[in-house]
Amino acid sequence: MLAVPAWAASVSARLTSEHTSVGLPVTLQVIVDGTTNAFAPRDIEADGLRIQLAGQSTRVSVINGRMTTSRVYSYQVMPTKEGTLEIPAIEVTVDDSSQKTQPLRLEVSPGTPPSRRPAPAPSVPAPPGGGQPSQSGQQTTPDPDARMAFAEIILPKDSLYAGEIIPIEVRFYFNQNYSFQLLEEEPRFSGEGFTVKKFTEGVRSEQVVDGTPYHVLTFKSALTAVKSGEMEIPSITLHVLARIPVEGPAGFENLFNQFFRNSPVPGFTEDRELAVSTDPRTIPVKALPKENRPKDFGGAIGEFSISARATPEKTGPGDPVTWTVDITGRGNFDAMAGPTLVDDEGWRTYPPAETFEADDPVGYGGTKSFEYQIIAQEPQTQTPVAEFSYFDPNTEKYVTVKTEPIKVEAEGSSQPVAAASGESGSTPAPTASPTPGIEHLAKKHARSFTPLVRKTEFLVANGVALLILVGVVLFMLVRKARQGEGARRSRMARERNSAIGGLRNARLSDDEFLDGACKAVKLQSELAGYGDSTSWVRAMEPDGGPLTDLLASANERKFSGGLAVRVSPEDRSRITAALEAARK
Amino acid sequence: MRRLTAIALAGLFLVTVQAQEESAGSQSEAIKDAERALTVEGPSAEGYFNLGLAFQKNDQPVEALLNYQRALVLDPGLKAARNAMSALAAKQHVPLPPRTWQDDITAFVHPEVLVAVGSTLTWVGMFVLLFTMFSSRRKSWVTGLGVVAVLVGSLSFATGWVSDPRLANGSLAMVMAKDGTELRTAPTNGSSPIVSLPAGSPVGVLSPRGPWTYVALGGGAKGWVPTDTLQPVVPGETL
Repeated sequence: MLAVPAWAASVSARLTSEHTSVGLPVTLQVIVDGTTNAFAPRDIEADGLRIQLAGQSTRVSVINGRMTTSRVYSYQVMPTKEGTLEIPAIEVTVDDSSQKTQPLRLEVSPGTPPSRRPAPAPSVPAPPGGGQPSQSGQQTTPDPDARMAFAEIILPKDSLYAGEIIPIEVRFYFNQNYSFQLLEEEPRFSGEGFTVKKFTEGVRSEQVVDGTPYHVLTFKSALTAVKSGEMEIPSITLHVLARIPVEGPAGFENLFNQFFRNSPVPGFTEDRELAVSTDPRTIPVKALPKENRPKDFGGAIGEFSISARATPEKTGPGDPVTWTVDITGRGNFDAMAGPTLVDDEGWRTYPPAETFEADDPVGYGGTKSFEYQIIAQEPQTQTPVAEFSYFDPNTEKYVTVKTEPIKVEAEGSSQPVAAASGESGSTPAPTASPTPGIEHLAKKHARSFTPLVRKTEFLVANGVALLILVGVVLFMLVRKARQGEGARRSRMARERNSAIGGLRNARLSDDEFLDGACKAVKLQSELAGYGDSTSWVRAMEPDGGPLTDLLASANERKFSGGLAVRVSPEDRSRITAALEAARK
Repeated sequence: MRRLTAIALAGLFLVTVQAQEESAGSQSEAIKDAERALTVEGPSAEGYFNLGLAFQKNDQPVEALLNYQRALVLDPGLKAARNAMSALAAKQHVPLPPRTWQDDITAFVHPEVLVAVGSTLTWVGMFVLLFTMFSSRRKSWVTGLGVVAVLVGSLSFATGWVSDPRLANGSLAMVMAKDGTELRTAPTNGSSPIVSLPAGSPVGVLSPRGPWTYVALGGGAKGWVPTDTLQPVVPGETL
């Protein structure tokens, strides 16, 4: 194979389409043939065009045994105005020299672009123009005009009220001719003016749109407008990784296409991150009417019904009745206030405990229960009535519904009681209610806004515990050390006694006697706190004595080259007696 | 006849006005009673709940929310305060932070109990371990007991710490401006608003900087609000 010399490198540029419309990008390729040692600019300035480098690749071609390499720089060209726009010559550094591409022209029309195969773009923001999804179920041929991916939001109505919750469906379409990988599990929604509940898990299906088969990923949620006016629902975006076919090597691609009819050359693909987004959509959001608004309206919008139940049916004096009011339907349960109690004279009531049981994945429909503890202050035969007002966005009217009173037999209690609502298991205690009509709670514990861990008592108690712990550790360590020293001294004393006891053995040779006596002297001197035997013996016998003679004999034996030293029986007795005296 | 009717109507009007005034006076008296009880008996969750209830009856929902929040700071398990605050916040369209696992724990036990029991158990466990460390007759079950006491105690202490709103939430404040305020991206009136905060919205104070305060919402959003629209939940604190 022959290498291509550097001076043979050439630079060219081409557009994937010379016609487009405003806002619809095309791809510009800058091709450097003959070398891979090339550098192209990242951004290119051009009037009416935004040109940014989207990626680069290396191409290897083998023709008649000759290998050539090329570097391809792909730019996304986004037209921002109509007309015949010029892409200027692009300067590329090739092997330390500069080369320029030829200028190109791009026809940009204001409307829909002429039919063409769209270039892969990093962001696919819109569904196909006018293309309506058709039901899948029939085999179709790939459409060259089909988009790679797009998204749409399905709203059940064209307008809504501020605070109203509506179910939404977001569908993401992925062209089956491409390979995709999800980069996130659920779409992202960010924007002002609306709140969106957590999306459900995506449901996969297939659909044919304008003759092109798509994989469809559908997410459900519920949307609420927080204020009125012409509001724009922001884009809902899902990030995916797309495997995009790129052109194969020159020559090889032509050969491949002869057999595979313009299919992408296998193995020549590029992974690119795509943000698939719905179009922002403007929707009128109306304010709730002020006319005929009930006084007890607490912000509920939707369609609801109300019911109640009470247990037990018969209670003694002071015993609470659990009275549960269920509000069932579809609407903004999150922002719903409880019902208003009417006909509750003679009952002592407490704020209710709330629970919600959804009957769909997004919590749009369900039942919200308000559980009241009510205590009869005088004999009662029926429960109070709960009244609930909401705004029905379909009839655009306020509606008030109420429960029927439930028959109970409750004996009255003249004793005021203070039971915290919902505090099951707590025994109602006498209250210190100073004002009629206010259901006061009796004080149970004095509390402070200073947390326990910052209170002096807590810090002091823990400090004391820490000091005790450290003290105990130190004490134990010292004790253990002392115990170790005592044990060592006991062991030494035992060995000394054994050595002195052995000296009484008359069958010991002179050497054995000397060794035993020296060992006894050494141990005794250590027990007496002396560093060496000589010092201790001098202290014991300042004017000389049997132990001094012992050390002299031991030295004599040591320094005389191992000659035998004789120790008379009298000397043995004197030395032994001296050691026994020292031991005492 | 007309004159008699006019006199009767005027009388009825006066009676109605008088009844309304008496009712308003009664509610104002209730607020004073609740405040007096807090002053005399000292702070308690029940006391602040009573004060919140009195404010609510007196049609002062923002003050009611503030005092319910104070009750919950003192006792996060006071269900009456939680329910009352939840209902009132929904009525006032005030966003409340979502329920957390700490709320589930404090519904059963006060965080201070967890802290106290946890620290005691930890110390006991440490002394048991110390004893076994220096004892000549070590028993494995005693050592195991010490280890378990230290672990359970530490866990209890840590759980109490992170569940205590006085510790976990830093400095809490509430939007008290009548018309609410805007959470903004920067401490200037010209900066773009992130979200509207109605009066009564609780916020976590991250950094007070003079006329503007950097706050965090329960949902995680952070931004700037004018300092004069906020009031600390803990009485006596300043921003």
